[in-house]
Amino acid sequence: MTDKEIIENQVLELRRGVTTYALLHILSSEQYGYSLQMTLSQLGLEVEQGTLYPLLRRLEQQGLLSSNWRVEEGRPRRYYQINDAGRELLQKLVDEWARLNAIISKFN
Amino acid sequence: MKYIELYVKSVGRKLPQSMREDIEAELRSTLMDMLDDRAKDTGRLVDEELEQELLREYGSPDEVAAKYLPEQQLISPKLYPIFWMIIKIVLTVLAITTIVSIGVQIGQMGGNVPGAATVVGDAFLGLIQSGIQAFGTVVLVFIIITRFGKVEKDWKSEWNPRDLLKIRDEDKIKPAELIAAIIFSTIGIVIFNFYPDLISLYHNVTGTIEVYPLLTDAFFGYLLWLNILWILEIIQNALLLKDGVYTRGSRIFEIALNIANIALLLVIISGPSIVQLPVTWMQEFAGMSSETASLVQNQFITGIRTVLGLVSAIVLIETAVKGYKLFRR
Repeated sequence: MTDKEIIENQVLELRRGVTTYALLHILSSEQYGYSLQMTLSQLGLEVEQGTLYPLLRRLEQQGLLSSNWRVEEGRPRRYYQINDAGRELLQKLVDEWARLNAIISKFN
Repeated sequence: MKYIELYVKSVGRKLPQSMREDIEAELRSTLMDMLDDRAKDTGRLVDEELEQELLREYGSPDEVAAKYLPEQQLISPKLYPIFWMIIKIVLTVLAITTIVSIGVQIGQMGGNVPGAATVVGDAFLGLIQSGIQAFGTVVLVFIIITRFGKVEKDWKSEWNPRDLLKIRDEDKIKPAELIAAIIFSTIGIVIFNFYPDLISLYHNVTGTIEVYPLLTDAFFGYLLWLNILWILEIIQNALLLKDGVYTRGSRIFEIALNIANIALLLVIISGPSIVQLPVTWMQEFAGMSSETASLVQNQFITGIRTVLGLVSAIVLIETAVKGYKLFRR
């Protein structure tokens, strides 16, 4: 593994946790996968499609998201939304983020 | 949308049936949305070229499908060091036994060079075959341990540093003894399964070595059970090496294995003899009459049964002591 790859992997690890946090926040209102990616992208958080959908699937399997299929613009789309268990997790993540942020800010 | 459809199906084929339909539908819908957006953003028409461009960026079907699948391990990483140690022991024992077997067979030929070359070639092919077979068996055993054995301990259960003081000297393993036991069990499996002719009497008759097998057909009737016990012993010793200490569970397993060994020994002792002193060998090369040869044969078999009986008694006493100590604790 080259130095560049090591750095990229570390950055990716850091972003991975943040992605779940952001997803749960955004999915307070219903969104389908592609619109979710667009929202993330507009916020400046680029997530590959190939990573986003498996992540959504995992979160749903863990009981943190609910989903349903609807046909819109003649196209079937799967809409995701946070559920009660997801909201509980999100609150914990918000608290933890604030705590970590307070610690990290001391380094700067 | 020819390429998108082909792409979606290609990803789907790499996924389990249970999740295939759902993922295919979502992937198809997303790719179509992306294609429409790309056409709008670039002012191009939706055509095959644009489809290909999008799919190239999205990633190969293998890569995309892999992200949906959980990471699975056939063999737990915690078992890897022990796994490789056993593989090295098994393959080394196989290689050494093959070399010995080649030596013995060439010795029997009395300088027949073309014949010797055939023996070496056959032995080499046999080594590859038995090597693959042995490797497969070890892999299978470790897959079973990973799947059904409790490899991951319950780390969350309460742990007390004082527990370290409770590890008695008698519970500490002796790695050299365990490794030696693994080597001997492996030698047993390799020799009795692949090279049983090595357990023979050899006699040089005018430059050619005659072979008189010592093992009887009765022995090969017990071989399956012996193999099972040897493999279980290897597993037990491998797990002890991993844990570094005897636990209640490993003690119970050891006692159960000893009882199984005693039971098999008793069956062997009470059945037809598993070894023989070839009567023809005694007559031709030791100059015995048929009556004397027969008498020596009977004494030999009685001797072997006595030895096996003594071994059973020793293992029984040892097991009883271990069982008593375990019960007391």
